[in-house]
Parts: sequence; C-alpha cells; structure tokens
Amino acid sequence: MVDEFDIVVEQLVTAKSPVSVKAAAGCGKTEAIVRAVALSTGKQLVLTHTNAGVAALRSRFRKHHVPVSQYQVDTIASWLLKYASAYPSMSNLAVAKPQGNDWGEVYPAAQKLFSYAFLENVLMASYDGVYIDEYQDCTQLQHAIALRLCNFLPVRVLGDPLQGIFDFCDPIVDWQTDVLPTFNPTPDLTQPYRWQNSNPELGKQLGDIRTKLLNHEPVDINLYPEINWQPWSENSEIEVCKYVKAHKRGTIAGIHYWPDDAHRTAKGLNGLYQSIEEMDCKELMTTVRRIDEWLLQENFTAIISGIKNLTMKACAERSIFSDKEYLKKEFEQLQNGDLSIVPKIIDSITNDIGKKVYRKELLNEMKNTFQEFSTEKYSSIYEAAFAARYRTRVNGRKPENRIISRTLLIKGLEFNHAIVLNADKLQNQKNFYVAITRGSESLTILSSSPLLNLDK
Amino acid sequence: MKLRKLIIQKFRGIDNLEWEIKSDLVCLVGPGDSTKSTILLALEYLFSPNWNLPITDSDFHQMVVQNPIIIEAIITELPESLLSEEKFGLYLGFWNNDGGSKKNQENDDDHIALKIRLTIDSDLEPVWEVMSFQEDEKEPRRISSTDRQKLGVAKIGSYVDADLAWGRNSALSRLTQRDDLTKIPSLLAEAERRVLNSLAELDLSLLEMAIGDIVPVAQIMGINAQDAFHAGIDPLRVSLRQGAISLFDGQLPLSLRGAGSRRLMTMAIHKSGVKEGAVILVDEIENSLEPYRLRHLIRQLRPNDNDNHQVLFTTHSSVTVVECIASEIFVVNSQNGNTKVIQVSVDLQNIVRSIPEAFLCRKVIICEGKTESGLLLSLDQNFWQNKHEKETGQWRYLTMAEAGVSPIESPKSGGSEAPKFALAMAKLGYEVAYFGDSDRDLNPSADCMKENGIDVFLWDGNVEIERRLCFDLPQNELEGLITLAENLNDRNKVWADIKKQFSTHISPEFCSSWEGLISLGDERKLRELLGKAADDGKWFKRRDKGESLGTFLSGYLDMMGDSPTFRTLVSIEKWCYG
Repeated sequence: MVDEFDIVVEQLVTAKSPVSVKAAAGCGKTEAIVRAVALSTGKQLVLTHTNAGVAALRSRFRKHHVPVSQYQVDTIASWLLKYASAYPSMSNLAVAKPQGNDWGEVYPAAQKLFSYAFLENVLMASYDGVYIDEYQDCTQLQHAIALRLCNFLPVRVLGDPLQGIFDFCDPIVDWQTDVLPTFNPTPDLTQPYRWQNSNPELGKQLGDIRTKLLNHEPVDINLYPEINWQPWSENSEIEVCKYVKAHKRGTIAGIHYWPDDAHRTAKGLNGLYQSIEEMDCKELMTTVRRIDEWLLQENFTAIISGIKNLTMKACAERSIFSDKEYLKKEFEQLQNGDLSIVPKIIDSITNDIGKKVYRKELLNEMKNTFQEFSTEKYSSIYEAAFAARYRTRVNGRKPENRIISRTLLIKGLEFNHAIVLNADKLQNQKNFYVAITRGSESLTILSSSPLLNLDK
Repeated sequence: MKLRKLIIQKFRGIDNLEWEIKSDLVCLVGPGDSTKSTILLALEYLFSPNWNLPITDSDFHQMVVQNPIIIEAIITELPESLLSEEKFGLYLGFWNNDGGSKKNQENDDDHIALKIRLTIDSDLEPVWEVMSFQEDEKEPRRISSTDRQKLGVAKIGSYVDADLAWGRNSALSRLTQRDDLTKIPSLLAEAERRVLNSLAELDLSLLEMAIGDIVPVAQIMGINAQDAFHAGIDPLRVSLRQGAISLFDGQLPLSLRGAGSRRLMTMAIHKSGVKEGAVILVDEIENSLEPYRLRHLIRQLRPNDNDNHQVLFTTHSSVTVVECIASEIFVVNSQNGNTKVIQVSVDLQNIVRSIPEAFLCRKVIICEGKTESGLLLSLDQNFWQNKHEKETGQWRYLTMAEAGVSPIESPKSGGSEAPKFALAMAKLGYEVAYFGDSDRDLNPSADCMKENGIDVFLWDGNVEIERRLCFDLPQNELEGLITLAENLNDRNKVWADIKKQFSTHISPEFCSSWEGLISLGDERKLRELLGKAADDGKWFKRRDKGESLGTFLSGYLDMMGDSPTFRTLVSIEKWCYG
C-alpha cells in the first residue's frame, strides 16, 4: 500500500498544471517539499514567507544532501524585490532598500513588472518549477503574482488554512474560493510525523482536535489524556512553567497571544524563561531614535537615562543600577560622550544579574547596536540598530532552551514541550491550533474551563 | 547572437567610435590605417573566451595607459542560458531597430538585449562585465569565459590549423562537445594510452646499443640505474590532446590543403558551431581565395532572414565589394582617432556594381569624362613621377598609387551623374576632388560640392579639355596633336572633322594639311577651330586615348609655363601628391 506521503510527492514532481497540498501541522510538509525537489529535474524555486522558514528549508535540503543546483530558496518578498529593483523603470518601485512599511510597495511593483513579456524568458531560463510554502499566509497580491507564474512554470502551493494567523493585516487568500479553483488538490498530509518518535498518542489526539476545530465543534480537553490541563490564573502560569522546567528535559515554549502577556509571564519567572522580541523590535528602535536626537543635542544625561530604562525593561531585578560601584566609571565615560562603552556596560550588568534577565534578546540587540555604531559605518544609531536587527533577521535568533513567546512568532517552530499559557486569550481557532501543535513530547493548556469553544 | 551597437574608446588607433550595426553582413572598407582591422580585433577581444589577452602599452590609444581601453557592445538574440536569474536575467535591456537601446520593453519588436563591456586599464588585466541598462548605480556583473564562449564569436585568423584539429580551445572541439561534454577528454586520453602502448612494443634494441658504453662511465660519475637503463617512449612528447587528432580528407590531413581551403573549412566549422547563431569575423576575407571562391563564400556566409548569424569582414578587394549590396558596405574612416563607420546608401548601388574600386581608395578624383581620367593616369606615370623624384622633399607622395588616389570616371557616359557621385563619396568620408570641363549645369552645383569639402577643378574658360589644350599647347606642337589624333583614329575621319570646322573660314582644298590650316592666318582662330574639331569629333574621348593624350602632353607640359592648362594641372598635382 502506497503511503499518502509518497502519493503527494509524486504528484508534486509530475504536476504540469498548478497543484495545492493541505498539510496539518507536523505532518511532513517540509519533508515533502524537499523530497519533491530532489526528485524533480531542473532547478526549482522554493518560496516561503519568513527568513526562519528559509533557514528551516535550507537546513533540510542540506540534511538530505540535495545538490544546491537543484533549488533556490528565498522569501517571497526578497525574491520579488530582486526583480522589482532590477527593473525600477518598469516596476515603478521607488525604494530599492525597503524598510518596514516600504515592503508593501514591493508587491504591486513586482506585479507590474511581471506583466512584461520578457519575464517569461527569464523565468523559464532560470527555473523548471516553483514551490510556495505557507500559502495560507499569502495576501491577495501575492496570490495574483503566483497565478501569473502559473502561465509559464509548474507551480505547487502548500499550506494549512487552519494556521493562517496573519490574517489581520492585508486580506489573505481563501483556500476554498481562491486556491482550489486554480490549484488542483492532492490528498492532504495528515500523518503526524512530528510526534512519531516522541509521543505518537499526542499526535493522534491533536489530529482529532484538528477535525473538531475544522468542524467548528467545541473541544473538551478532558477527552485527551495526553494533554495536561490547569485552570488559569496569573499565578498558575508561573507555577506550570516552573513545574515543566523542573520535571522535563528539552526545549520548552510557553505561548501567549499578546506581547505584554508574554513579557509579564517571563518577568514573573525571574529569568528562568526568555521572552522573545518581535522582529521589528519596536522598543529598541524607538529608544534609539530618541538617543539620536539627544546625541545631536549632546544631552548625554538623557541618553544615559534612555539606556537605563530600556535595560530595566529587560530585567526582573528592580535595582540594577543603584549602588553599583563597578558601573560608576563606565557611566562617567558615557556622560563624557563615549558611546562605545555601552556594550561594556551591558556586559557588566549581565555578569552581575544575568540570571534575572528575561529579555536577553532585547539587551543583546542593544549591545549589538552600539557595537555596530562604533564601527563608524553609520550616520545614526538608528541605522546601526536597523543593521544589527537585520542581521538577526537573516541569520536567525539565538536559540534558547526555554522561551515565552507568541503564536505569531513561533509558528513553524518545534519544541519538546508546549505550554498554552492562556487559551481564552488566543483570539481564534487558528492561533489555538498553532499553539497546541508546537510541542512534540508534551502539551499543557491553561484556560478558564477544559471545555474550549473558540469561535472562528 | 546579433551585434547591434559597438562602442570603442582609446584602443590602438581609435580614440572613440560609436557604431550602430545595421546589417547582418558587414563589409568594412576604408583606406589603410583607417582602423578597420582594429574594429575586428576589438570585437575579437570583447568576446574572447581566453582569460588573458596579449595587451601591451602600445594597445592604448597614443600609448597613454592612464586612459583605459573600453570596448562595449549591445547584443540581442541571446542564448537562453544567459537569461537566467543567476546569470544576467536581472541585467537585461531592450533594442529596437528604429529606436536603439532602451530600458523598458514597450513594443512587440523590442528585442531582449545585453550590454557587454571589456575594460583594460594600466594594470593590463582585462575585465569583462555585463552592464546594467538602468540609470542607477547598479554594479556590473562579471561574465565568465564560458559564458562569453556561448555567444559564439569566432575570428578566422592566421592560425586556422588549430581549428581543424581537436585541440583544447579549437572550434572543432567546441562543436563536438556541444552535445557530449564529457566524453572527449577521456577519449583522447584513452587514444593516447593506446598509442603509447603500441609504441612500447617496438623493438628499440638498436637504439640501446650505446647504453652499454654509457653505464660504466655513469657509474664512475656516481649515477646508478635504479632499475635498468633502456630506451623508452616519453609520454610528454606523445600528447594527443594538443591537437594531434585532426580533420582528414581520406588519407591526407586538411592542414596540407591550400590556405584558401583551410580558411573555408574553418569558417564552415564556426558557422555550424553555434546553434543560436554565430558571429564570424574575418580580416581580409579575400585572402588566399580566387574570385570565384570568394564570391561563393560571401553568398554562403550571407545570413538568411531566419538565421541568427552575423558576418563581419574587412576587404581590400573589389571582387568582394561587387558581391555585396550597397547597404552591406560600411566605410571606415578615422581622423585623429575619431572613427566613423558609415553605411553606403542604396543610391550608390550602381557604383558598387560598376566601379567597386572607388570604395577602396583614400582619395578619389571624380572625372567628368574618360579623357580626363586617362589623362591623369598617364601624367602620373610619365610626367609627375619623374618630376617628383627630382624634386625631393617637396612632395609627400611620389605616385598616385602611393597617395592612394584613384581617378575615376563617372559611370554613365556624358558625365552628368559625376557631381552626384562626388557628393555621395564625400559624405562617406572620402577625400574627393571633382575634375571636369565646366560648371555649366552641374547638379549638384560646384558651390554645393565645395561646401561639402570637395575640391573642384575645372578648365578655365568653361571649355572642354580638347579645346583648352588647343588654346594652351605651344604652337609648334599643334601639328603633333593632329598627328596623335590621326594615330588614334581613322585619318580620314580626323581630317573630315577638321574640314567641317575650317571650311567656313578657308577654302576646302586647304583643309587637308597643316600648311593649309596655317593659311588661316589667325592663330587664335586656328586654335579655336581645331579645338572644336577635336571635341566634336571625339578624338580623345576614351580612356586609352586620354592616356595617349596625357603621354603626348607630358612632353610639353614644362613648356606650357603659365597657361591655364598648366595651372589647373598644377593644382590637381598639389591635391594628389601634396
């Protein structure tokens, strides 16, 4: 009997017309892409949405020794930017190096460019086929571009509509009405590979929950012996996290929806778990903007207080700066205008109260910012911060063993243990599904009641 | 691949050249040192698949190495593999036959184009890059030698034999490897091994007789055999990979055939070598080829409409010129490094057909009639050459040949086309002079010609050459003129012509001898009527007759001191040889 996985892979490889694959979380979607690319002839373009996704795909390709000549992995945004910025007069792209909101300009520019005839020659000379991963997160514009690609290359799209949690920005594709009419569906990928070697029962039970969610039925946690349930309270969040750390080995992810909730929990854990920063690291960027202004005014007193405030946000300790002799000299230097001392200050603090830091990433980025700035390649600290953050964006965050994070930031990642810190605040079914499928060994859910009824 | 535009800066004799190539067959003509071979060399270098080029300081324009050599071309009809994203898919531009190069694709007839540039600065390292068409500061991308090779530009040069063998970089290897990349090297290596093996079976004992004598002496000197000394075949000297396997016709290698045949075969190999269309460059296409083979070659090389080939060659042969149509001929001229390549207009098609050598001169004197051109040729040989040899230092050139001057008569008899022709040649960049009878009804006018840089030489007094001479010859030589006419034409006709003119002035019985004519008494009238007779009678209106007239005149020109004839001829002399 042929495995559903092999059937899907075969259809991906041989498809001449557009194809779509629906894959539940942890059911071998990445593996299917890599296997299909390895078996295809010619170079395949593999697109996904995030740099983390790109890194994950690349490392899986390497693991399977797929020759580099077979594939090109990129984010949709940067791949389109490559083209739109190569031909600015035809794409009308105004910004060659987009930042933040500028990225929105890239898609209409690319769409305009792709309407020119010569693109067909270029794309057909470059690739024999296209794979687009996490298709459920595609915006309508991105979808339009994918449809255009279907005109000259075989396009296969993979994703899970039940994990489409980025739907709060621009309108995203509807799998039923947008994807299926053009992209013929293969059988769904439903084998829970992620849990196979660690907790296959959990995998099965999660599959069951998926079905209930898809049918908009309520979920009774009591029916699932592999899933631990605790009544929610601010205190029980802390207790559960401590418990899991004490009794389990491996990586642990505590999951919230809102950033403030995540920071609060991490703070309460006094540094046992690290809170993850958003990609755009707003707090750092805002602080750094102000520091630039103060720098122009040579107001080093304000700069010092800005840095102190940001540092205190990252630490669970109240009095990091009071009565610290070892910092006195450094702050004097800073008062005199020596910004290069900041990384040293941060190092000293970390050495002193390191264990109590619960937003290491924030502190690290601040340190990186000032290190970058001292190379004198930048005209402002903001630019240096942007460059430092960009490097993290591309290279990936430093992995931590225990984190408190948010669904939007941990989608696609895998941990040994997952703790849903407050299921009631997870907004909708999709966020819930993403959260519960992050842990391969164990899952703990905190909510007001074990009978969950999340709408949407 | 098609070349659409070429820019050359600071390379050898070319300070700057910008040329839109508007033909698939290009015949470059131009006087010596017009830099036409330099243009082909520049193309050869731009598309060379070699890592290094034989560049020295003397390749820089005026040897100023601070000014880098830049050779750039816009090309279309590209091999598909170069259009990929990782190659040059993000560096494309467009070319329109009417509009030239553009950065946006607007019409259906906009071809996808690339801009390739070779830069060599004072470190003599050639750098090959593809440039962006966009006006931003996008960094150019290097183009590898393998990719340059894909563009299929081949220069047929002196080393044709290399291309007739399966050597490292030969066209034949590339043609063979096109379909099967890997097998050739191993085939050659295997062939080499087999040759060595069979040589090893040779009995070389005859050669080894000397070894017995050597061994004891070697031992004394301290050299001992580790195994045993004997005669063997050195594999380094029996290498098949450097082209020992070559093209044969039956038992004989093609390399034994004549130069012409070898060149033709090489061109055939290059033409078949690139399926996406080759660009073949040939310097002096007529080399080693008889006219019939040359004509055939040009017809075969000429691309059809569906070919993507292009052929560019230089020539000094009028056979080549005749075989091309006007729009395929391009005149190269260079003034102080400022080089221009001008396409011959279709209006000159009948000149191309009938006087091809006109395009192969440096300076052209357009003569209104055959008499004039013959006259000049003869004066050059019989009079001016000797004169210049005696007047050392005064003249730049001794002969017309040396000066690159060609007297050419207008193709249509009657000479009415001559001024138009002169103007057309001047516009092509040739140095042009017009030598004619008079300025009546010249179209274009003499003034118009002068405005276009043409030197206009006319006989004084608006008369034809025959009449002018009759006015200016020394008196005692007039009879000689009649004798000359008698020798060149029918004697009776000559006197009949004379009678026709003179009979209204003297009685007919005097019109049959020189003495009779003198009886007219009025020397001026005599000269006038004689001139009219010569003109109307067309005594000298043929090139050979004009030549004889010139020979005749050579004897007396010294004595004609201050005459209009003399003055006109002096100014022509200055123009030709000065």
